[in-house]
Amino acid sequence: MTNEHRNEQEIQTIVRKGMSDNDRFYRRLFKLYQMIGFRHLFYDGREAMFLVLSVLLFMPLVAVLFALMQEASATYTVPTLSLLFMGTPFYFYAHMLLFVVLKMEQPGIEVEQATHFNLVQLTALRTLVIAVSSLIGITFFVAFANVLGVHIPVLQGLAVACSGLFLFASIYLTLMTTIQKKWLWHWGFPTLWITMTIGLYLVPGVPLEGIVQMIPTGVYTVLAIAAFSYFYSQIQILFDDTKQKGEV
Amino acid sequence: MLTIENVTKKYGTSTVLKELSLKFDTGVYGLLAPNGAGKTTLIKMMATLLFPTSGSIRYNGKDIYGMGATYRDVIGYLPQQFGYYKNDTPTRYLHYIAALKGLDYKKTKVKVEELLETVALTEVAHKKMKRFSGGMIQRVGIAQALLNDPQLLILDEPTAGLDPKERARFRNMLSRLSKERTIILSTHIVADVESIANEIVMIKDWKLLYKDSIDTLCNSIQGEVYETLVAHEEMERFRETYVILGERQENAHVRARFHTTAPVQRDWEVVSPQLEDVFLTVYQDERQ
Repeated sequence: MTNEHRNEQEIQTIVRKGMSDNDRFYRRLFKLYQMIGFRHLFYDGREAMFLVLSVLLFMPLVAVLFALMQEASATYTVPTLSLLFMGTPFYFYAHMLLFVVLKMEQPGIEVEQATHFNLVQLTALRTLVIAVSSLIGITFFVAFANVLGVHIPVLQGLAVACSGLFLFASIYLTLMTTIQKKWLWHWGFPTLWITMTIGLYLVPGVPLEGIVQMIPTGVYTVLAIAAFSYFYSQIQILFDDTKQKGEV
Repeated sequence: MLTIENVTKKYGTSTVLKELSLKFDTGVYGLLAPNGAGKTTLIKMMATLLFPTSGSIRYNGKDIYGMGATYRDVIGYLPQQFGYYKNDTPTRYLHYIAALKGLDYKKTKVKVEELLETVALTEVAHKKMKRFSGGMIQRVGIAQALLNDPQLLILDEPTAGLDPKERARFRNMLSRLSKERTIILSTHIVADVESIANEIVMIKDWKLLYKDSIDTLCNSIQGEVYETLVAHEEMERFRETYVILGERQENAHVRARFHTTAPVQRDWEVVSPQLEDVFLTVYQDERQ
């Protein structure tokens, strides 16, 4: 390291000591984004393309599917809100899973764990980007669904989808930051969510859509905000390398 | 200075390292031990990839785990199994690692070109690494470890897969780099460190056995290393009696190099011990 770099590091250390934890986090997050950029944020072009196409194509396609299902039967009402609550997390999980699968092409991570910004922090930034793209995807879905005649109250739809998304994402990240057993948060929890989703629809007499519709939009809004706040706090934990306890 | 203070590492009830205390200053240090002795565990702890069960590791007096990114800024690390992205070119990969190391993009461009030249990979700078030989991959690994001009270079079996010419080039490069740096080189190949290390660290039975210069280590068995000619039919019994350090066919006999503390015999020739002799003598029970 040159003297100039060392002096810069010392100055940054002094500046950081005078900052609040939040300021430090935002600054560091921004610095990571500046250094990495979209050039390196995604594993490769496949992951970036998957993200873009899933937002621009997949969510509108799902809206088309909903519309077709609704048109197919006059008596059957698509359980839109409950599907939004239980199903939106799959969108988030699909992107996280893609990252895991692509990463398995290169099993060694020691080098990336021993750098200034380590792989865990990069994962945190990626997770944040995936969450933001999920929000954009949800908005596209709700907008397209309404255009195609599937009536979803916009605010209610967004609140329900966000609460489901961030509830799933915050539990997923909590497991990631607290439990070393990767299978639990990679596969175990998502499998449980999928099983629960399928179970709730298959169990006769469970008026899931009715229950979801009964809960006021305000409750979903509060749940979404609370879940997002917790999700964000987990991102901050992932980003704080002095709190990372995982071994490589 | 990197200081390891009473570090113990356990996995469940299994002890890997026990109460290890070491200090590393400027220069080249060879961490020499057979496979499974705990070298990689120690290296990984120095690179903050593992945590000690007890004890501490400090850099210039500060705990390395508390330092976080500040410590990682001063280290360059090459792991034993260097994971790389097959579809990346060395240039792209080095740019990615440089970004993770927080290096300026414009300076990185120049640095990457310099390093690729240093490790003789300029001609394949834009070719995908899936077509590279093991030695070429290893050279990319060495290049990434040097990107941030580290004060502390931690290399775990860095010459794996390199041919003799590449290993010689690598040793010369390390020697040049060591003037203002601490280089810790873990290996079980004596020749890797014999000509460049200032001190050798040997670990046995999870504990520190030696940390000394090569001359001091060799002097510890001075007068105990011999060579003699042995008939083929007697070789088996000879091996059972003495610690064999080397064998070479010579006409109808075997020229045996061995270690013993027994009184010298007439047909034995005393020879100067080499570092490999010390290694084989120290770890003789682990070879059996």
